[in-house]
Amino acid sequence: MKVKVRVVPDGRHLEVEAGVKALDLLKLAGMNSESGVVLVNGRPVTEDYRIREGDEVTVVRVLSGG
Amino acid sequence: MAKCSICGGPAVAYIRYQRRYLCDRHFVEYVESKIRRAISRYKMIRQGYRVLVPVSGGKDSATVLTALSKLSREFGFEVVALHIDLGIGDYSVKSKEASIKAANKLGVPLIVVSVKEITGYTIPELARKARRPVCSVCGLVKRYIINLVAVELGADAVALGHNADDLAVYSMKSFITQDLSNISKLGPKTESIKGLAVGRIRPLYEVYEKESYLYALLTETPFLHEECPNVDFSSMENRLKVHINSLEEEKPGVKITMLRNMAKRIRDYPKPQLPISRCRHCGLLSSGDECSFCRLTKRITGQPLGPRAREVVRSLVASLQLAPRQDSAYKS
Ligand SMILES: [Zn+2]
Ligand SMILES: [Zn+2]
Repeated sequence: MKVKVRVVPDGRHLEVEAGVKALDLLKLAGMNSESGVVLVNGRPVTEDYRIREGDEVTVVRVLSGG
Repeated sequence: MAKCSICGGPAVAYIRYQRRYLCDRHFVEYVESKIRRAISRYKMIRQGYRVLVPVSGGKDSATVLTALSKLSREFGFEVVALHIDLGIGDYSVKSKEASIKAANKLGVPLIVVSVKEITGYTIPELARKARRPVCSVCGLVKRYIINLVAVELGADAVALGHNADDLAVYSMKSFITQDLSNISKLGPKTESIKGLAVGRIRPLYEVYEKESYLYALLTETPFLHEECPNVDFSSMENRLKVHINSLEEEKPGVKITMLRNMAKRIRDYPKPQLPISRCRHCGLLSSGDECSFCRLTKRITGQPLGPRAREVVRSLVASLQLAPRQDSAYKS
């Protein structure tokens, strides 16, 4: 099953298979464990969390420009 | 799902360089203990201090504001927040809203200074008129207003929101360009110059950018996720951030090691050789007889606007009705 992922702040959308790890999701979105955070239903999850069907997933790039 | 290494509750973060999982509550405590340690280790704040926290509406200043307002009771200091309305369209409207919400939530007095009210122009308009890059004009105006408000408040320190990632890349950039005297300004704290400038402290000196984001999120401090529309993601700073963070992923702790060592060696870097004098218009810090804010505004409007800025800020400060601080060494 595919799960929709919103990427913030770019506003992009990705689709991934359920079961993918949060860390791999960060890499798919072009980030790593330091530069991004995965939120599931608005709450941060650790890198080894596996995305489930029905999760509302957001990947946030935490590096701000300056 | 991973469990908190302290209490076994559901983990929200993994601290790579400590190999620890932390839950919501223990993560917040962990960031606060880092800030508390940095304040003591680098002697940033003493009892009875009045600390000015400039808030942009972004995550880092939100984190500084929340953490300092909590720690202010423990250390016995006072916190005042400042938001500068830059007039950068919708972004500034939302930034101001987030800053007001955060200050209200924490019960911290807030001063809002509008660049347009002082100069008659927004930041993008000032930049166009001066034919200068918008970020350089913005930086100049913000630095001036922050220092001005701090002086008028009789503040003892200005708490900036630079996190460990910011400071690591600023110093790397300065090393690459061999602007070594700039590194001397990137330490955890800079000193005040009586009557002219209030010293700056960096409570997030050892807090990673990701930790700062998570702290603001988990403490439910209102902040804006959006970036300023003028941010250039191809700038050297932003490219270096990507590189240092892939290094950090491979070698956890490299950023913190770099910054701790930098703090120890900061005195070995050459100090900028700029002369310290007083602006003949506004009386604040300048390197010649005219400060850069008065020079810029004189070029654009025909009038140096430092004195007008002081007037506006003085009445904003008075309307806060804070306890007077005659004893402060920094009041001019
Ligand atoms: Zn815990
Ligand atoms: Zn001046």
